[in-house]
Amino acid sequence: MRVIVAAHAQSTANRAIRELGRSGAWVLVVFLLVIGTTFLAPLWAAMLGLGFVLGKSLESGSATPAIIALLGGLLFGMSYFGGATSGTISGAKQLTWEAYRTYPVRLRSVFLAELAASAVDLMPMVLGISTAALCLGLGIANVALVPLLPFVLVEGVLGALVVQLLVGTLAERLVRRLRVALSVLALVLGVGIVLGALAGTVPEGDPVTTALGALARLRAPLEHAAIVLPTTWTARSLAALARGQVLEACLDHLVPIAALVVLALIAARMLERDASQPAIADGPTERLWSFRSAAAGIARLQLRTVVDSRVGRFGLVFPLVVVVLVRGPLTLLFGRAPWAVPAAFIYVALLGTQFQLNQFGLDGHGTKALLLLPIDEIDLWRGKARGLLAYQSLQAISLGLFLMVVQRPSAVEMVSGVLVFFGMVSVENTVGRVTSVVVPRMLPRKRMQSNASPIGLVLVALSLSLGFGGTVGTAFALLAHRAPAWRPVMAGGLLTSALILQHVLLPGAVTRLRRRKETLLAALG
Amino acid sequence: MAAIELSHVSKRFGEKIAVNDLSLTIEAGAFVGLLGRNGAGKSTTLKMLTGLLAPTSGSIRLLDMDFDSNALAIKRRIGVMPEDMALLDMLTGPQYLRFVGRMYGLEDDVIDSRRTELFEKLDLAAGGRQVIADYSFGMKKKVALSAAILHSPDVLFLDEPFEGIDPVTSRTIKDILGALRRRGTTILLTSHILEIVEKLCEEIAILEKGALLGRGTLEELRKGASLEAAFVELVGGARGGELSWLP
Repeated sequence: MRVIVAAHAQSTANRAIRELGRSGAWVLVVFLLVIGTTFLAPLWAAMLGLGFVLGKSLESGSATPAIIALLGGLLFGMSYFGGATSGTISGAKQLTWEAYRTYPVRLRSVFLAELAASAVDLMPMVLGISTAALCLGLGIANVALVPLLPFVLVEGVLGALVVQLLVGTLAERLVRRLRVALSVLALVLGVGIVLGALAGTVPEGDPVTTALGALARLRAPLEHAAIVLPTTWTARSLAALARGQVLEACLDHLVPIAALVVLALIAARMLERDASQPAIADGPTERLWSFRSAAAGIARLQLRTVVDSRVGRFGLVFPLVVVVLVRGPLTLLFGRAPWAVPAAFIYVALLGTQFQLNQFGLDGHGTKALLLLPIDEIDLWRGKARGLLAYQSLQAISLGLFLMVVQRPSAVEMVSGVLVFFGMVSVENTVGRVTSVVVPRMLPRKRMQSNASPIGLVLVALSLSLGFGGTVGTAFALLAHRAPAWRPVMAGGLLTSALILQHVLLPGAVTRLRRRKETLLAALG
Repeated sequence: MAAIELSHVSKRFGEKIAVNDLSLTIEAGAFVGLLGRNGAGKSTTLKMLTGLLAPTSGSIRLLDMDFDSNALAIKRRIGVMPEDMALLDMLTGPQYLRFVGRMYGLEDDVIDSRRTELFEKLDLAAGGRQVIADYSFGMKKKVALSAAILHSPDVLFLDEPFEGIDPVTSRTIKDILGALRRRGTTILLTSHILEIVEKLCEEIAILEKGALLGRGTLEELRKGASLEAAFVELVGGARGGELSWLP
């Protein structure tokens, strides 16, 4: 296991050194400092405080079921739910299991190495830091809990990692075949319609009051539901320890350990089975394309490549995930916020960044074929833009349809949302014409997650998401309150500006592609 | 007329010199074998000739045109089969050839008739609806070769075309290359299989450490010995195969 982890760490470090260089390393240090001070430190302090308050509540030894349910729910959120979210967003495996199968290595070793490699992903790291802060707060407030807290921390982190692997693997299986994915989508849509109907009964008004009212109504059912969570048993064992009942604490703690072991076994078996199965051909229909221009051919190729990839298929499912799993519960809590529809469109548009910022990533070695063929660079960029636009339009159409079924937004909201969406797509495409040739990276077609994105690309994607999402989202929220009728005008202005920018910067992108072919081929060819 | 002209071409990757002051002229219609050890600069030379890499210094002309200012015109008249094949492997074989053919400006019916003939001769019909990614190595080579000659190019660059190819198909490829040569196509081929080079090529160029070590007809280079013996002697001799730890 140590050898596998070391090999993975070495290859990751070598790749980072090759990509970053000395100046890049400084940029990374500054970035980590900024993230650490603006996000992680406040989060850590908040969890520490929360742990302290909960620890004090357990100190008296008379913790109420509500306190236990709250602590159990918190632990659940930071391990199982966090892991599930991470698995849904970023997929499963870090290691190439198929390669390790050729060596005489035990499944257990590869699985443990996989867990260790996954632990340095952003989401598990944030979850681990949060859990550690909560445990520290609990320990400071109540010293009697200290013997059990290391177990709670390790279980929390392992739970997040195992569930991340499990959900990521399941998501990969789901989208492996488009028809299966679409069938499940139809099922989820049904759930969404029910949630939408529920949301319709929520009265409009002050969001905070609405949320508190909804939480008060949900308190009793949530307390009952929390009983089945393994982490509630962790909270119960902590409460028992606070009362000095060591044996009861140990017995209660067996439940979360057993749950973790069962999940780990299932995840290990699923990963092993996936690795031992031959690559599944997706059975394309033998339709031969014909197209009038080179750009049209490239567009068709790009669309086909994205839709045939696992990540691309999952992207088609995502509008439903946004509507049903995110917008549904939020509407239940907050009612119908005027910024909600454009926010959903912005969120789905941001999902396309991984394709837009790395436009040759899915072509892989085929990039060389494109560069060898008599295709003008301007046609390459135009074709790729059209192909990606077609793909993201599919996402926008499905999001629009789902929103109409579930939320029934007004025409102004929908038009604004759609215009902002295409404005964002255009901006992403323009930025992508730089990043795609400056920091290219191969994207896996048959897996949900690439082994590691270049740091530069991650920074650009993050800046684009935070910058664009933040400024446009804030502007929209302000307009929604002050001058709602102006929203489509602002969105139209944004789209027009983005299109002009895309057109003006195209010649520069052509020159850059000609000059940086070697970088592109070194990374992909 | 010279089909390929390299004049004092060098290529550096940082401190490493991959190709060093290489000058080489190949006349139209010639069939030249480019030989060299691993890392000698053969693939880098082919990449520069096909526009994938820009030389650090020197100039390259193909079909009497400068590559920098006539890239598209040159690409329309050359065919390339890189060593790693560089296929769009999410397409099926027929879909790939249709894509490539359209990019060369061929009509659909012309592409389909040429592809049918090529696939029949190269025994590729079994590919069916499989995507190229699921093809065997040899099948991928055949698809790459089909794509390289689909538009009947004036100059053909082949990097290790016979690697991983079965003997029957190898014979067919030799026949196809012979037919192309008779038609007047200039062919530049790299291969480590010296017997094939010996049989096919009329001229040989040997690269070592990025520089031209020798150039001439087969007879001039081998001087009565086998091509393998002449090649090994030119590049510095073999090192023996005994391993100290083998019993």
